[in-house]
Amino acid sequence: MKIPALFVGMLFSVGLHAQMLPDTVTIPQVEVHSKMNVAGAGIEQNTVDSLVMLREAETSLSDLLAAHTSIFIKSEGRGALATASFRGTDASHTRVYWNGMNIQSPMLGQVDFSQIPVFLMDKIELHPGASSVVDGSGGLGGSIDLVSRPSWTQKLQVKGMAAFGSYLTFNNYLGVKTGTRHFQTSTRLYYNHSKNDFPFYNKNVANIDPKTGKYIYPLQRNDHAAYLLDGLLQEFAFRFRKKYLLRVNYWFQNSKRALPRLNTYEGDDHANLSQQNQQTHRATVQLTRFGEKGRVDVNLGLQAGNMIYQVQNKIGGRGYYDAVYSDSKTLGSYNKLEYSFQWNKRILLKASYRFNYVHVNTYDSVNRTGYDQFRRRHALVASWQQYLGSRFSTMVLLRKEWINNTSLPLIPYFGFHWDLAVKTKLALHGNITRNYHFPSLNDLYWQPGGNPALKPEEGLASELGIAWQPKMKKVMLKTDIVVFYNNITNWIIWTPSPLGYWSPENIQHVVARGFQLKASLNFSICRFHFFLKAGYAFTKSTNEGDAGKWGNASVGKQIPYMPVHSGNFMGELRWKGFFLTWVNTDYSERFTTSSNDLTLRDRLYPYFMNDLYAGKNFVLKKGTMGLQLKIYNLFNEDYRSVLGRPMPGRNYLLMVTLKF
Amino acid sequence: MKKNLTCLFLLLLTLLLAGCMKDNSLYDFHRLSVDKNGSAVFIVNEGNFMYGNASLSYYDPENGEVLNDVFFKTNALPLGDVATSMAIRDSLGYIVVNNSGKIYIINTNTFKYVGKITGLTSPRNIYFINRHKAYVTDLYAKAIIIVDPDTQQVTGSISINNHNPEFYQHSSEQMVFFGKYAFVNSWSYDDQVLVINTLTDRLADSITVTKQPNSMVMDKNNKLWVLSDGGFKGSAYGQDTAALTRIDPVTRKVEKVFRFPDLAASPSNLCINAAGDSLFFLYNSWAGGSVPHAGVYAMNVNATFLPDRPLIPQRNHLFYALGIDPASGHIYVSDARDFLSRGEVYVFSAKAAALDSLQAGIIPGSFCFK
Repeated sequence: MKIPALFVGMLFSVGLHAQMLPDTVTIPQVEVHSKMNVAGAGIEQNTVDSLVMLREAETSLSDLLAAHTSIFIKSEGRGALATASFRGTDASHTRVYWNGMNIQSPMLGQVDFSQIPVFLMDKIELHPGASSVVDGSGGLGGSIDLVSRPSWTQKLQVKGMAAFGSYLTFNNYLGVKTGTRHFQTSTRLYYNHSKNDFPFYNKNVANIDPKTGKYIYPLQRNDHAAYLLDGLLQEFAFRFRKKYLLRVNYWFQNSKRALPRLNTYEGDDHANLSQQNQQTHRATVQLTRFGEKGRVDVNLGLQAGNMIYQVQNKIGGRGYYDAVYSDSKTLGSYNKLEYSFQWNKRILLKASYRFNYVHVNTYDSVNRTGYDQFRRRHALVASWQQYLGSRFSTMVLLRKEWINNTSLPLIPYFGFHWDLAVKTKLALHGNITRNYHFPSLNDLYWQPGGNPALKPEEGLASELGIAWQPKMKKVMLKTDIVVFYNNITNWIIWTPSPLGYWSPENIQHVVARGFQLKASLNFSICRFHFFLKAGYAFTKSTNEGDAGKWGNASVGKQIPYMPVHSGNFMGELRWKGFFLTWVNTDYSERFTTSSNDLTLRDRLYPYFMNDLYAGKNFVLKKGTMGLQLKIYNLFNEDYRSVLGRPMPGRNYLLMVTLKF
Repeated sequence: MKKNLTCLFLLLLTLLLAGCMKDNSLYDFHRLSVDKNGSAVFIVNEGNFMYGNASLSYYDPENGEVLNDVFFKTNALPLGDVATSMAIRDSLGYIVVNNSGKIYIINTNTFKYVGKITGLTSPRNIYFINRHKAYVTDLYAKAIIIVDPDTQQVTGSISINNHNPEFYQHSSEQMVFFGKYAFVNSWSYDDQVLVINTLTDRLADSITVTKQPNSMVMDKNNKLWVLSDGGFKGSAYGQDTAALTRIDPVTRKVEKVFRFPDLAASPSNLCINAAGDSLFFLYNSWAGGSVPHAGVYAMNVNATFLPDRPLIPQRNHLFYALGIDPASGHIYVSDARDFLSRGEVYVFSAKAAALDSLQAGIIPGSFCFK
């Protein structure tokens, strides 16, 4: 089968990020075919660089995204809940897919990125704004595609990583893969745990010295913050009859963590003890049939989870009582049937039917509250990609969805890609879409306070960008600038009541606009290899709601916790197997109130974090060994990331990697 | 060469940004130093749950002066997470910080932090019995905590654990005193008013009222009034219509129950004027519902039926807390706005004439009159 050169060029252009290092996977012929499924004109695909994946292999996805992308990660502390927001939107507006399957919690409507080990992923791709509609609906901010898809090998390959860090932190990973030309198997195991009891001077509480009257600030530890994360990822791939590719993946994860109290807490040490235990099973089956002019994809996905959230208090003489014991069971089935058809050299058509079913059963046995609800979602998607001339391509995509018996308005997408100069790879790209985010099952049915009358959030997302990758001798430069505009109405927000109930309403209108710049540079001087990568985002995300409801003080103001300026930088120097990597992450001041009040008490001042990694790779008789030391919070700064949470000072991680 | 210079510039720029975070510097500022004698109103701002941004506002009704965030500005310490109430004894103010498990003690004239009572579970209110004894009500301790306000130590507790395996009972919320007895409402998944003997520190009796009694007052006729919100839709504990119950504290019998006809109604914040002849409460709906004619309601203690129109209509506000100044009889009502920005406080005369308005802190949740 012949694939038009332009298409191949276009498809490979999105894969270039992954091909910067010598250890990058090689793409067999069958993979070239599969690329047709991913790209579309105007679709922005930001692939996390393979060097970044390598350096951050033992961390969580939240740490990687925070340090290396323009996505804003709101983290409640080390090892704690971390959510991700694209371009000034809410965390619930970020969709996350693993091998094409939506892995949002259908209950909460969001993903905890601290619970996703980078080691399990072979590719991480970001689809900001309108680009998320190729994956599914609801990603008003964007979507993140996580792909576990090891390269084909006919040898036995083993990779082990053992990391030991401050605060009794252990991260252990083992990966084994082998196969033939027609069959592959890959097994990945991990076992991470940390006591996470870093020390800190707590300046949010003080005792008064009875003699001097001065404050004595206690030196405390981050108690009740230990975590455990372990699991298994098993993958099989079969190639048969030259036309078929079957992939079967199964991922089990067990997570247990204590949830620390705020640093203003001075209550009973045996009270207010919270912890969360979670087991998740995820499985995907992907069958692809490659034809002369098209291909058929059948994807089946299943996700089952069980989460227990518990709050305990010790009652005098009676031991511990549960104040909350919430047992939540979720089940999701995600299925897709897609046909891609290459009409001619200029036209690619796709049509798909998707069916998702999610079921949540949650029950708090103390308060005897909960709900048992399900949601069926049918979707029909059709897209038309058209080349006009040799340099200009467009795509129109239409998505129609039905949720239970409710028909959602049509989701239309339009995008284009224009190669202004082929030699210097100068290209203009843009897109626009309307999108809907349906409330989570908690939004609708949570007891008490769930609001079944909630309307879907409605978003209009658009962007215009220009990419430039000039050809230079021994230097690889890539730059991209994107201007974006998102308009979201019926934004859902939970508000409390005097009686302690929280309830969601559709009351906010948010407009997010701004621009993003990113650039990377690879070059060598003598035998020194340099890699520099920098990103900057300006995000003005403001509340444009009703002044009568919100008060004049909040209208037109930046939404809480969203930085206007954010940037990241990574610089690496490699020489004879040694490497030194500097990672810098910056945010401008963030506000914790909708009116953007500035108070010293609640100030989240600009955030500048520096980490340094150093290591050496050794070539052994059979395989390689890597030794790496990571220094986090290089300048040992006292800082805050959110209110009321302590953050660790300078801390270390030593990692040994064996590969053969 | 040009490229190398560019790289060098980028590196230097990033170095400049390094080492800029100085959390400690936030605590070094010129602190508020005042000495405010005379009557005033303290507004306890809850702040957002798990943000630790509770605050204390000060309002002088004589001259309209407003000082916000006085605890932090005076003491360079955050108040904590979810401040629920404040009580004054002599020159000291006791601020109960629910989700921080403590009670801060301040000088009510200078706002200076002079002590704290720590080690609590989920404190809600503090009531002074005598010089060496105060009761602290608690949402989760299944006990009323006894503290010594002088030594600032926990000295004991009164168990109110009913060992009900079905619900987490009893919680304690407010207290009203009559003779040697303290009447305590158990709000959360409960329908009891507990009677505590303050001499023996023991549970003496209990009175069953309608579901979820959230607030109480004693009137001029020595009648105990209890306002219940009825719970919420779908609750396993059941939902009932909200009600106002009159109890004779001597016989501990329910004398009269005034039912609110609308099941969606969740009235709260029962208050009384200094004369003890007029009840005030907020009439609204929480947990996702709505009611017509929401607002501040007033009711004479001798009335034979509930009022059907508000004294102060809510209109486009969202009334959150209510207080009646015992000296002036003025009505203080707060609007939490969007719960993420500073709330408003509106001051009305006893006859509902608008007198003043001010901006307090995030979620103004209770008033304490000095």
